[in-house]
Amino acid sequence: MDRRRLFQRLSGLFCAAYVAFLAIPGIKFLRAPLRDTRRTSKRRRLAKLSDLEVGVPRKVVVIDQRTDAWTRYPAGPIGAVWLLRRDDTTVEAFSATCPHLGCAVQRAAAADEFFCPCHEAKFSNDGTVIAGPSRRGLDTLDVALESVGDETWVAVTFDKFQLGTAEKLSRG
Amino acid sequence: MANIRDWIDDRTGYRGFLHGVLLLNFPVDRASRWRYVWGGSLSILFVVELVTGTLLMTVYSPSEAAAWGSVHYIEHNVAWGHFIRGVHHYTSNMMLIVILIHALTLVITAGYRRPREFTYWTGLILGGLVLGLAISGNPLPWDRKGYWAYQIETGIAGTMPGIGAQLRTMLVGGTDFGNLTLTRLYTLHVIVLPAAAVFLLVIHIALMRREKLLIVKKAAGPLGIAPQNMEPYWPYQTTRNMIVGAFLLAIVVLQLNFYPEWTPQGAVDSVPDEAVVAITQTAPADPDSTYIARPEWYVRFLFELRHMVDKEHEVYITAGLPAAIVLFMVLMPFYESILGRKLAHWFSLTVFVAGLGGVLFLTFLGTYHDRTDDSFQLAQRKEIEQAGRAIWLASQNGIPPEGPAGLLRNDPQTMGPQLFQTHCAHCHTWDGHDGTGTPTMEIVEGKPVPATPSASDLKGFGTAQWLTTFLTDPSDEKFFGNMHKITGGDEFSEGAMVAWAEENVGEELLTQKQIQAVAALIAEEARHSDAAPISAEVRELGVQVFAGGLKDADGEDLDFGNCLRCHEMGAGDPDEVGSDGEDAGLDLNGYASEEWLKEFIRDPGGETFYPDKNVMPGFDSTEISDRDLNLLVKWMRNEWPR
Repeated sequence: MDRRRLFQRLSGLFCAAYVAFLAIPGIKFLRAPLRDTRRTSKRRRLAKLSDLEVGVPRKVVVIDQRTDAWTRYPAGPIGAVWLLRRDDTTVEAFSATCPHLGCAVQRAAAADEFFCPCHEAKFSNDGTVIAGPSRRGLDTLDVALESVGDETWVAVTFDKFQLGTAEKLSRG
Repeated sequence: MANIRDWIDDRTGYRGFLHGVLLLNFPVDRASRWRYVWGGSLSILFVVELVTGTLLMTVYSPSEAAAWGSVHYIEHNVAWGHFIRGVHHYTSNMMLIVILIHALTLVITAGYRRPREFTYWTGLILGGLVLGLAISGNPLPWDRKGYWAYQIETGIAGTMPGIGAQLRTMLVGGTDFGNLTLTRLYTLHVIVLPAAAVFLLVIHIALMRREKLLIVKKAAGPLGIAPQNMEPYWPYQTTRNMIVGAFLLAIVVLQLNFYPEWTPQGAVDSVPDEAVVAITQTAPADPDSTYIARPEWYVRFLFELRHMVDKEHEVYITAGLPAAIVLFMVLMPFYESILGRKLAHWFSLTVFVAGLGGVLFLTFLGTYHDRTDDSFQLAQRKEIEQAGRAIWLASQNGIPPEGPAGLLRNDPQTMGPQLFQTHCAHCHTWDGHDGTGTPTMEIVEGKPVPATPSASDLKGFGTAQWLTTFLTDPSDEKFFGNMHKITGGDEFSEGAMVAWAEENVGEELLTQKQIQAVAALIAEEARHSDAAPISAEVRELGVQVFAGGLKDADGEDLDFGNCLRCHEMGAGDPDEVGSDGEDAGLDLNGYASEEWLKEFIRDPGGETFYPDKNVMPGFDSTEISDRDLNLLVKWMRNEWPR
């Protein structure tokens, strides 16, 4: 190898070293927040059983502390849940976030069904799709009834799910 | 493959463009290549700064409420964040040093001479821009160090003759520091100065290239062949540049690992051992904070000089001297026309080297002054402690939405000593000092001397240990001993407790064990969260001392103790006998508990305290707010997060 080739190789080598020096930590740095999945689903008491009428859905806002990167927010809304009491001892809970693209699910004005105004998705009272572009029904959440003193509370494990998929996948 | 490259080159001419931009076949004198590395290394370091800076931008947030927290997040919660920020910070310092070396080699080789004047001048401006980038970057974390540095820098800008006031308003975004100050600073640092630097770098290199190609053309002769002693820039010069650049970056990486800005010396009491990390940011900016500011090393010489002249002439140092330096450098190409080539060169070189030497001397003088200045070292140590505390608190609880200043303002460990010093240290001491570690001073015959306190030492107030020492000798200086200095204080320094101790404490009287037992019983009233529970034995002994049921080895009654005669305390009075009406002493129920302390400080002359013989002033809510009282009391009771 002549002198010129040697220097060309050295130049290339150093160039690669510089790129690695910046790119390896740099890409790890950029990807770091993407791997931040420390959120643990908590079970929270949302409403008293006695406040829920059978067959009448009720929307409850979930209030809790929220951490946004470095900021810790005091208690505030972090999401909403539709509670539907089936009978004396069964309550179902649906996430009020539309599984299509994330808008807030409401009740239809003139029908006994759930309705999302963004793309006119319609869901029946058991969460299944009636009409609209959503690839799956409303996301169900785990419910447990807890007795506190003489009151029975409806406790829901709130979670967030990926949007637009046919399968219900937790976002963590 | 080659066909594709030819196809693109035919249509775009990219090869010619690359040769121009990267100086690929730029001819260089063989003999002097290592001397040329400094400019090339600077370009490499500049690219490193652009990349690391852009990476930091993905997390950093330029607002008063978020800046400090976002930097904390980078340092502690983002993978490689500490590394990227460290490279960014130390490379900027490295660039300033390399600029000085680059300038020195230039003056030595007289690289400012015709036809290179504009190359030289664009280089000078670039140097100024890099200095500006360093200065504008330091305050961005909006910690105390950066905040006060920028306060001073904008203050100096405000003293510039003529344009001062306007200039400062523009920089600060108003009259007072706030959100707009930070956003303007950020704009300067992230787009204005870097864009100007890139623009000037392109011109700087373009001018170099033009000049060199003209030389080659002239020397090539009629056949257009380049002279023997020239070689293309790439790969020979670029390799050398990259080697030196890598060496400089290796120093940067060593610095960021082994030379963190401030290291807590030994354990810092307010931060758990495992949390003691290198302090890479000081406590959050707080306009109420006191901070002894020192400039960065590269302007330290100005700081030393301005303290050597009196006030009216200060502007000569802060404005005049930098202007003179700039003027000296800018006019360098013109000295030849006055002094002749050789003399001008020697003159320039001598003044430059002498100036550099003077700057270095003053810089080292300054750091020497700091190292030997005890009060500065003490203040530094306190800064480090507060920084460590703020960093730990932020790691535990995050930052509140309104900003990080609340972290320390709501921390008993931080505020307690200051509140004690302000309100209590006139009379009381805390472990011999005023709460913050410095002794209270008083003026005696015109000189400040450590003061003798007139009230008790309150460290460990209400704990079993404090009470044991108190009961053993209430007339000690640490308790009532000095109270005769206050009008009415002799009721205490020669009062009932002192008399009790004389009759009950000593050889053949109450033993240490018995005193400790009753002290432990009384200490329970305080409900200190770090107090150990007392055993049944100790409790029984304590009640015997308190209520006067002590018996000796033969079962005979011993008339020692008998606290109950004067002091009410439910826990010491199981038979609910109650104390006498006469000689009524302090009600000990809940003694030194949080509620008791708060009530006592507000009104020591109250019913359950010292209604007849009180000598301590009360502090109502206009003197100490409820919030401050809570912080003070929690600190006194050693109840703060750790």
